Amino acid sequence: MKGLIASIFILLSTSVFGQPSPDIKKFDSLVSVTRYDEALKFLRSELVVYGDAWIPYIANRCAFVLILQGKLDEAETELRKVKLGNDRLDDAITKTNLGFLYLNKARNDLALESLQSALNSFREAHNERSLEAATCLAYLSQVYLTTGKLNQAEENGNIALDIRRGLKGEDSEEVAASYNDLGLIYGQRDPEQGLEYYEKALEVYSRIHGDEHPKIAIANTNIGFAYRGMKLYGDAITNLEAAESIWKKIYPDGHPNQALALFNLGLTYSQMGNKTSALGYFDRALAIDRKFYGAKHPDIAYILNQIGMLNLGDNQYDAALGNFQDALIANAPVFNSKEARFNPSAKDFYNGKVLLYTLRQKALTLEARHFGKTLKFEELKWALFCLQTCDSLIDEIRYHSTDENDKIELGASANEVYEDGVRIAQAMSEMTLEARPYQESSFYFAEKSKSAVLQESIADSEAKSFAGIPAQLLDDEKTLKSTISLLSQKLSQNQRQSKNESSGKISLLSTVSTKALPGNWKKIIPITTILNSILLHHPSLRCKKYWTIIQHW
Amino acid sequence: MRYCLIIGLLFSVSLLFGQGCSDAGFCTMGAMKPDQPYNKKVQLKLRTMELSFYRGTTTLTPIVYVATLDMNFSLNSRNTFQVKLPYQFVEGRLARTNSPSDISLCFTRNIYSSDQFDINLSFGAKIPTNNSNLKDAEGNPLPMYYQTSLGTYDLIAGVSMINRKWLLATGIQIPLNQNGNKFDWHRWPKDDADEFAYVQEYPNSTDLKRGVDVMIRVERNFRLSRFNFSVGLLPIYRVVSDYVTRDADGARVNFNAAGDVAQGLAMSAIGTVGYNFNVRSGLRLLVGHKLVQRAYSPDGLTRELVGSFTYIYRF
Repeated sequence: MKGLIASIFILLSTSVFGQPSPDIKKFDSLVSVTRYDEALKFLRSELVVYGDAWIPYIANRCAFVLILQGKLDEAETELRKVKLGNDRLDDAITKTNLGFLYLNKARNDLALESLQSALNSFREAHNERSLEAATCLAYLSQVYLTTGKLNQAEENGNIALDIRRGLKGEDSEEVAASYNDLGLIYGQRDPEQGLEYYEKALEVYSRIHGDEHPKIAIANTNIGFAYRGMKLYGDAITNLEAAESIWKKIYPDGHPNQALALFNLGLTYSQMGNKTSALGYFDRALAIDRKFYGAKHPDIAYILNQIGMLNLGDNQYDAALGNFQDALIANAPVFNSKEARFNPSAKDFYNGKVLLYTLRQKALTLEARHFGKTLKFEELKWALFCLQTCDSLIDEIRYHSTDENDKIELGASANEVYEDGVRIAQAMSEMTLEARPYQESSFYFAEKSKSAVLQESIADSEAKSFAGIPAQLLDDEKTLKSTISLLSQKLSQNQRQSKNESSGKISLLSTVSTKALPGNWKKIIPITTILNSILLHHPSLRCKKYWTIIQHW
Repeated sequence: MRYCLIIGLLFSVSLLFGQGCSDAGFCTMGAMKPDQPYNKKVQLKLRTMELSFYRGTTTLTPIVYVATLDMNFSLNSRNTFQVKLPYQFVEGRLARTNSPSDISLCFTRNIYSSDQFDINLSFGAKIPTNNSNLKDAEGNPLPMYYQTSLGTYDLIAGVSMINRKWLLATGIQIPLNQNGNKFDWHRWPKDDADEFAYVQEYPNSTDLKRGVDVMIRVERNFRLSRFNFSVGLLPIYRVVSDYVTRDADGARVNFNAAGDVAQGLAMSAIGTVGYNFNVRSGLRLLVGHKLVQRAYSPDGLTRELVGSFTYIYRF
């Protein structure tokens, strides 16, 4: 969809009307086969040829690709090249991309601000019923979903669907993307309703692309997740196998997307209690990821973690410990020790959350191996060391994270770590003659646990009262929130009522846009919408294949 | 401070070497056993097999050796069944004897469990393997000291409260019958004055009917990750006295010529040291000695010093 926005953008920028345009088809074809660096190089070379008039267009396209690559800071730099205020539609599209950027940075506050500003710009440009505005609404829906505001997410998602359906008809990529978004939103409340929307998306994709297309694979994956969430494992496996089969045909030499499907099949079998099959799928996923990424990648660590969990559940302590140690190595740029007594530093990681998970599981495995097998005191020392590293890591992640949801999620993980720390240090103090250091360690973790609880409470309004904020200010805050909510509702209703009134402008805009679009524009769909659906529905996958799917969409 | 305490305890155990303890079997059954494991975190194994070698000196010359196979089966998380199969050797001035010793069966149920402590209840029985009337090479019935079986069917019950530091247990052992022992030094040959003088040191035990014993075990445990230590006291009170048939008139009596009644307190001090190689196997060394002895014990349970070495395997 970003590509679509950017493509439309070129036609809407009056400054470039009638001028020779860059070879969009070539650019899009490079993006479609994930040759991002080449695409960027090509686009930048085109800028030299066609001049500064193309800066807004090219900057937005470059930013989009950079976001897909996960180069968020570079993407922001690109977007800052566009001077806002010259053209309202330029502004709207750039702000939409900025919103998308912040969404990927998990800066939901900034994303919300940027997307709402983009919507205003669309309105001012009389393009509030355009496909670009629909994309903006779709992103906004994701932001609301991410922040747990389901009603607003549903409302914006439905408006986006309404616009897309009106402009593109039922059988369009955009409509299918909206179905996916709504599938995720409804799935939060009612898994069956969510599934219904996922299946609608699949039907649309099937009509457009046939049965062996990446979008079908992703839709199948979504449906597989939904069935697994409903514990209908047979249906989940059928859909995940279908997705895996499609990826295999598209990428005969293996691809992380196929690895993702295999990984999820493993996870499904694991939930079914079929360890042998689960391990088989995990091993296949691991082999593909290692072939694709090499020895070090957080996805590899994530798979190893799951294998470790299976082995730990089976009391295969040595195997589990080996898995977790390998996961630490895979997720740390510098760390390479196979010895269980060593851990990477709290700053040596690709993905902090995955590292946190691995370290905690390693600690639990060491504890389990002590009490379940060896009774070696040093294993508890190593376990405690893991938790101490977790403690430092939590502080590190918290310090660098700006996303409130991430912090809440981290708070939950931190509590588990601190509880483990209290338990293990306390147990150690009871089985040694030098109890004092372990009692102190236990006390430290207990205090950290207490502080974590208090930290969570700060979000609560009660905490604001305890913090001494005057009651009058708190009342003002409530009033303002109510007013904003009311206005938002009215605005939404107004948009629906004015649908027919603005149809003329939209039709014109659509006609112009479609004519000027690159030949493969229909293939550019809002995969991020689908991805966020997957990730939000299955938070455990957030750190796994997020970028992988985006990159190869 | 803790080091001092441990060293002190070990020192006290070593000082006590040279005396002994004695019981009719129930002190090593179910809830009444010494040095019981207590760690709710260590993975539970359903079966435990202990192979122990015991040596006990007595107030007279006999030395008792016992090899015991002690098997525990967890029926579920709360119920355990124990079978003890001992084989006993006795070597003394009068004779050498050996045979399978009395078999013990015990059912133990955990009736309360919390983070702080457990309470266990045991019921069991002891089954004799002979009539307790083994004889020397000349056919003279041997004193109870030399018998490999007590010759009685016994009922046993007990309860214990255990936590990480303490074990408090109490139990009762009730013999149901009198045994078939026929020892009375009056009936021994008198051709060797020294020998005859010696045999008179053994109390007569003809048709012994053992009395009821009640025991209390108080034990302090020190549990490290692989090592564990314990020290404790084991008072056993014979609440109902033993009775034997007097050779002179065939009367059933519960006292000896000196007027000592076969009843009262016997108390031992027990110390254990254990080392676990892992959760499956470990070793235990137990030493115990008698602090208080009954003046008259026709049952021959007059251990001065006992020591046992046990290999434990859990699976």
